[in-house]
Amino acid sequence: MTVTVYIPAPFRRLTGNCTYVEGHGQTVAELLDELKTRYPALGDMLQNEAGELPTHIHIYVNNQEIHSLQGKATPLNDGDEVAVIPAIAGGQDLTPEQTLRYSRQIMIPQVGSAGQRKLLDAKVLIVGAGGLGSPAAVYLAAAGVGTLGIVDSDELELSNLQRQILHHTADVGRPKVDSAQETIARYNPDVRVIPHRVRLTSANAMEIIAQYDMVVGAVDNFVTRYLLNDACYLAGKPYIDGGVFLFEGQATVFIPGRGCYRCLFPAPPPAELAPSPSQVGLLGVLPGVIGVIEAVEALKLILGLGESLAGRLLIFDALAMEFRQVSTRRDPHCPLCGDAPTIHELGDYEASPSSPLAGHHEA
Amino acid sequence: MTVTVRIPTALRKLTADQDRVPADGGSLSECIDSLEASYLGLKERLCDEAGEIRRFVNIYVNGEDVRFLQGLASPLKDGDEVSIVPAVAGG
Amino acid sequence: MFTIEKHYIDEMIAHARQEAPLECCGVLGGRDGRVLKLYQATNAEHSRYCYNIHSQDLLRINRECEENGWQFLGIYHSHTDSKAYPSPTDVHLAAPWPEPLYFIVSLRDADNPEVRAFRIRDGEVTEEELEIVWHAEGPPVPPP
Repeated sequence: MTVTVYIPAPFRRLTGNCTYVEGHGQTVAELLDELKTRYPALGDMLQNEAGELPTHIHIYVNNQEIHSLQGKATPLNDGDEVAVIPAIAGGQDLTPEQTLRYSRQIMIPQVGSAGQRKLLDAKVLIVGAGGLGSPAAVYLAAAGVGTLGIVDSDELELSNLQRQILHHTADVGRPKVDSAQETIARYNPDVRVIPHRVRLTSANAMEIIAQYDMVVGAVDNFVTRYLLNDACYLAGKPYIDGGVFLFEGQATVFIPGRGCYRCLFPAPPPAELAPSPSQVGLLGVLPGVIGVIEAVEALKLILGLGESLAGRLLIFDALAMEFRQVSTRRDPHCPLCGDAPTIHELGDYEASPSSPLAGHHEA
Repeated sequence: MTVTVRIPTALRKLTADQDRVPADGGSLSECIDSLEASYLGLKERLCDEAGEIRRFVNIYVNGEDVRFLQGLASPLKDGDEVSIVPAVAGG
Repeated sequence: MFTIEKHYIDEMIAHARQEAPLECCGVLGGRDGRVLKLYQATNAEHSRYCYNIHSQDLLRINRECEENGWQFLGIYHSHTDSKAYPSPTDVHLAAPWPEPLYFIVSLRDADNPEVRAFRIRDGEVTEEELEIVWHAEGPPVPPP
C-alpha cells in the first residue's frame, strides 16, 4: 500500500525538510520499518531500545490514533494518510513540604515519587463515616490520597465516639461529613474532601460513584451493602468491602468481572439474625482493624502493589487474635455479574426480613 | 472422618463459646448432623426447612466454598477444616 | 525577550484556574514570533501532577497550524502547587519539542498567579523574559 506520511516540524530535519513523504506497507509496523530504511534518523525516533514504538510518539491513520485502532498492526490502504507526532507532556514535582510529609513512603522503592503522585491523583469514595469509615479515611488522608469522597447522612451521637475516630466530643449533634472534613483537613491539607451528606440510594449512587476511582464500603447494614455492590459493578469500579460483628471482622475486595458481594452472599440474613451494634454491642477496635485493612487494600490498588484481597475473604477473630482466609470467586449464576445477568440497573433494596432483596429475580 | 469446625462469633452461644469444635462425617451433610447432635439448634441456623444451606451462610471446606464443590455432599477427610462464615454487616 | 499580548496570559491563567486542581495544558500557535491563537487542550492524564496533550487535540492543533502556516510558538501548562519553573519531568519530556517556548502558569499563590516562559533545549533551561503588551504593535503593559 502507498500512503502519505505527515512529518511534523520537530522531525522535518530528519526527512530532508519534507512535510510529507511517501510510505509503503500493509500495516503501520511495515510502514515504520520501511521509513527506517529511507530515513534512519527518523526510524531511530520511532523505535526504542526494545524495538517498540516509544510511548511518547503518537501515530495516526486517517486522523485516528492507532491505539484506538489495532496498534502497529493497523492495516493501511492506498491513499491513507499517516501522521507521526511526538507527544507533548510534562508535570510538576512534589513540593518540598510534600516530599518531607510523605518521605516515609516515598523512600520505599515500590512507592517512590511516582507512587506518591498516584496517591495524590487518586479519588476514593468512602461510604460511611462511622466505625469502618473513620480509620479508613484517616489513614488514606495521611497517605496523601488526593481526593476523598465521604458519604454519610447522619449526625454524630455520643455513643458513636467509642469507635468513630474521625469525630470528636464537640461534634456531637453535627453532621458527620462536616466533622470528617474538618478532621481530615487537620491531618492533611493536601486532601480534597468532597462531602456527600446523603443516604446512598438507587437515585444517587451511580452519579456519586462515577466521580471516583474506587469505593471503600464502610456501611453498617445489608441494604446499603447490596446497593453499593451493584452500583460499583455497574460502574466498573473496584469495591473494597468490610464488615464487623462483635469480635469478628471480614474484609475483601471485589474487582468487576472477578466476583461480587452477591457471589459471596446471594442473600442477606433476616433482620433478627443480623442485630446492629446498638442491639448487641461492638468492640470499638474491631472496625478499627477492619477499616485500616480496607485502607491498606485501597492503597495497594492505587499503587499496584502486592496481592489484593480480590478472590479471598479475610476473616478476623479478635478473641483468638487470628486471621484466616477463605476463597471467593465469581458465581456463574450470579444475577449481577454471572453468565446470564438479570440485574442491569439499580432497583429496590429494602429487604423484608426473610425474603431475597425485593425487585430482583432470585438466582 | 473427624474434622474441625470453625464456629463464627454469632453461633458460639450454641457451642458453649467454643470457636472450634470437632465433628464427624464423611460428607458435609453428615458433619452438620454430627454438630447438631452435640450442639442442639446449630443445624437450624445453617440449613433451611428443606435441608439446604441458607443463602446468607457460607460453609467452606479447607477454604473453598462448598457451593463450588459438591454442596452438602462435599466429601470430608480426616483433618479437614470446615468453616462456617455468615455475612456480617456491622460497621 | 518574547513579546506576547496580555490577553493570552490572561487566557492561560483562566484555563489553569478552570482545570485546577488538575494541570491544564495547551499550545500557542503563530508565526514570526507573534502568537496568533491560543489552543486549550485536554490533559489526557487528568492529573494534578502531570499533563499530556490528548493525542486527538495534538493532531487537530497541528493540522490547523499547518494549514495557516503557523508554528508552535509556545506550549503552556500549569503547576497547581509548585512554582512556575520547569520540573525535571518537564525538562526530560521537552526533548521532542525544542523549538517552542515553555510557558508555566503557577497557581501556588492563588491570588497572584505567575506566568513565566523558558527555552528547554538539550536538557538546559533558560528563562525567556516576557514583554507583555496590550496589542501586538503597542507598548508594554506596565507591571502591577
